[in-house]
Amino acid sequence: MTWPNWLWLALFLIFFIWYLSNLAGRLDRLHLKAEAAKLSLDTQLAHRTSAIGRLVEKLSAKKLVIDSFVSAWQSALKIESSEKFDPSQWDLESNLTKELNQLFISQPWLLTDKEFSRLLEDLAAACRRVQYARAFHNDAQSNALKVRRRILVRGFRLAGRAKPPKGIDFDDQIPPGLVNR
Amino acid sequence: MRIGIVCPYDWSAPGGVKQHINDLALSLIELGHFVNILTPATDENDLPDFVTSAGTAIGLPYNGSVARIKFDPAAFSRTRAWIRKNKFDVLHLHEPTSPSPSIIAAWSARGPIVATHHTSNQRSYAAKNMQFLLQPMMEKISARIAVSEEAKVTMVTQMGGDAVIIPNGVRVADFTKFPAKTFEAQPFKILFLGRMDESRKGLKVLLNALPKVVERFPNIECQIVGPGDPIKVDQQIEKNIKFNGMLTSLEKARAYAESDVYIAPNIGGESFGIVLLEAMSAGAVVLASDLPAFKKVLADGEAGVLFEAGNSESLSTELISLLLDTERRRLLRKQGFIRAKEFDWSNIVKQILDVYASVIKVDGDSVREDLRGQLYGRITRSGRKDRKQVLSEMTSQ
Repeated sequence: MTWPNWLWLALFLIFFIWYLSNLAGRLDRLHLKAEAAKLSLDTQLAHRTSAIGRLVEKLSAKKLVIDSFVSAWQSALKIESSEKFDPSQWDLESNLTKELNQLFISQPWLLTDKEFSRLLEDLAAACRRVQYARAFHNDAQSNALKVRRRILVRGFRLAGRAKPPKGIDFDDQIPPGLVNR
Repeated sequence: MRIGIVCPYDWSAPGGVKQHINDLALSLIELGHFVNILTPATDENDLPDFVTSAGTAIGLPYNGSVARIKFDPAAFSRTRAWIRKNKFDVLHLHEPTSPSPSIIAAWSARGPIVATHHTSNQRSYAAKNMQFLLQPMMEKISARIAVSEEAKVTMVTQMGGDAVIIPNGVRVADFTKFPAKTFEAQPFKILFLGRMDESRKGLKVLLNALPKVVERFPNIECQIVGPGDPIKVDQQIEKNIKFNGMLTSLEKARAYAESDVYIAPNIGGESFGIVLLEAMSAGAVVLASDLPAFKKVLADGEAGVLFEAGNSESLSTELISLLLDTERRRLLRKQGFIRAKEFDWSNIVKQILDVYASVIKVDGDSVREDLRGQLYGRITRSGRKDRKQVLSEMTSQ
């Protein structure tokens, strides 16, 4: 007994559709992961900004105000608390990193001051977390993009209306004095 | 924080990965976290209270050594029960690609999952070509850690993606319990540690180098420690060699402290070099082959001496000149200790906690059983969650 051709075709179609639906499900999970990683990065950036805020406060209590540092912190704070996404956010974060680096170069005594040690430890942890969160986000993002580029995904529009996740690039270097703290 | 760690290899057998997991757990517990480890164990009666057994393990050749691992149906149900019962905030898998409870845990859990890659292995075609089977599990992992640049390269070539590098740690305080040997005391003692029947540990290289060294220092004592049957050695050096089976960690600390030079003649397959850090913590001077991983740990020869990997001639020359130069050994002991301190677990554990912190927000809830792909899950749909629901939970955090 041989199977009629249409049965083979039907079997193949069922398998193919099952495969496509699996692929679509996988792509959906990858998008979700990238989105979640983005949220986590936002959280970690907010933590870093607030840790820097405490540093600014403490410094100004000591009558030490460095204008460029304070203004970099203020603009980062403003953009993070606004509801709308602003593409210039990453430049501002880079700028804040740069100013933070500059601060420890111009005020190296901070690194050894006992009064600041607790604060700097928190700040170091916040900087590391930002770095990790960005790496994990970009990993998830490129993973999703790789699957989006597959020919079946494009041909059958499996990505639906989900926007392709964007890579995030800004300077997240940890100030040398804070490494290993 | 509630942390679940999965160890792929037998808890009853010594090994770098098991050691790493044990030290990580102890350091986390010291900081007040709840930790439980799931691991295969041959001897289930002798486990610390933070360790859960996934059953007995079987030996399988993996990455050039014999890994004692676990992969059978009973392990599946034990792993699932462990995940259900403990309600972890984060799940930390080790060697997620080895056939072990790590893979099973990746398969049966969802939520914040972190994975650490230890192996550096350039020639695993199987691992590379079987990757598509592991894809669904690997994509659940939200953060990947590699213990070294080499481990990261291996991971990236096998499965793509990216990882952050957090080096292995050493619990320096565990190795400073015994006073280090004085530099002049005779006879000189050297130490080798590792499985004797494993060629990549390089015991052969050391044995071939010894005759020359014995010629110069007839009294030198060479202690060889590790599981495996003692190998037959030449008569010429027989009296200088002392074989020792496995040592407890305390005995190991003493063995390091009592030796002048610790020798690591490994010929490949090492992704880190935790033993070097242990030896340096205890005050032994390290003489190691110039594998990239060892080079890095020894800060390019600043914290220890390097010789050409696999070259007995180079080993004997370096060893003799090192034993003759007391001043150099004094300096190296000091540098080695400073270097080991940089890798102390108290530093490393902070970085690992930062990784946990940066993924815990990701899913907004704890680790739970993943019923996707299971018949039960398909029927009840309890394993699935609506996309919107997940996202709204995350944003409400």
